[in-house]
Amino acid sequence: MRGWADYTAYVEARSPRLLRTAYLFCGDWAQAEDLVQTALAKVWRVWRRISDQPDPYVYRVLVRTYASWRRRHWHGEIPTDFPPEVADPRDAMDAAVDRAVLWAALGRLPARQRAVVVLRYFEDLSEQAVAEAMNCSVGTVKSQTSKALAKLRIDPGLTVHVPAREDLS
Amino acid sequence: MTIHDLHDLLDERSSGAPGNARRMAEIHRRIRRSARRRLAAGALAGAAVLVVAGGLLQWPGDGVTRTTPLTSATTGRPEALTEPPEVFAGMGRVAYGRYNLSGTITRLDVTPQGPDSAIVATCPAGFELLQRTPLAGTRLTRCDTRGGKPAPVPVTPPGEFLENGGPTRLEVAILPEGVAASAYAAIEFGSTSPQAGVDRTSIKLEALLAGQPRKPADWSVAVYSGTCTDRRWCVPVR
Repeated sequence: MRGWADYTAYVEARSPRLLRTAYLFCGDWAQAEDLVQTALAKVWRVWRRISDQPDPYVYRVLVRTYASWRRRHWHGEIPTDFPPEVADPRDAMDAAVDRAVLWAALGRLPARQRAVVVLRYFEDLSEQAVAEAMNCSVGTVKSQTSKALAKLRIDPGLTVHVPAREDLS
Repeated sequence: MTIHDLHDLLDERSSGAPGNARRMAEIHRRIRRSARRRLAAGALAGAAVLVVAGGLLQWPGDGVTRTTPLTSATTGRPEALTEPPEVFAGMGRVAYGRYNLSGTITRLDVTPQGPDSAIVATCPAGFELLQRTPLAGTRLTRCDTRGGKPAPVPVTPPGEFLENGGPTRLEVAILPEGVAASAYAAIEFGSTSPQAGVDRTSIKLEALLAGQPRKPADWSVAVYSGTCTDRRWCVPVR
């Protein structure tokens, strides 16, 4: 039987990592803290029933809570008459700028694609584990991952300049 | 950009998380608050179930409505159902019942308050009201409607059903139109035989209702008693 002591130990051990995951979901530390606490409080209700490996269920609750918040809450997009400035890919961007652009592109991904990216490439979960966390099939995980990566690559800010043939000659 | 870059970016961006020494206490508080909310919701749902169950047990079965004059405040009613007036043809309302199913017998014990009495029913189109009293026997009256809504209709004129001086039991039910006529014909012409030794009037009403499915239908019955003062309704010669 897994009781309060086990639960407390789990929360203390895992919550810092879960907080980082939640932050990567929502991009705000305060909201991430709220998200983690909400998810862990929900997990306590079924703590006795979940297996000795509660991580999959915790991830599932975290993703589900995040997705429901995304549906209900305003995400801070501000409509504008003009599109944001796009970095000129021909400029010699340093790594920091590159990462900033990638981070911004990540923030524009839909909730599920962002969750897939975070679980796959931050938590290093397998596709099967991500599928369990997101309550979907492995095929869906693959397609969502593929779409997300494609969007990150084709994001205007990340477009890599390919020299035209005439430039090479 | 490579996957490796993405991995590094996620790791770098999520580092430096603010510490929270009170996290466990805050989660505990959320758990307690959630439990209280669920407990309150459960109690509310339980109370609702009890109210519904109480309503089903009490109504519309064999309950008896006493002759104490009822006010509209004691009988909730839907807007579509017009409540009969407190006074009809100069007689006060001495009993009132409101129901929502057809095919069930409802009994009202009525004590006359004067020489005249009347029954006013409010029932939907497509139904008929059956009433039975010791003095008048079983009667069948077609429900009246106004503009498609149930409307009050006097089904028994004053002076025809109550015995003055003592309490009388009125039994009422509604059925879809035509059901009673065909069932009566079947009983009268021998296809269905009432049991020997059982009051024939009684078996007709019970037999009628026994084979009928209960259907949702808002209807009400009001009983008036006193001295009739409206010539349109008063029996001229008693």
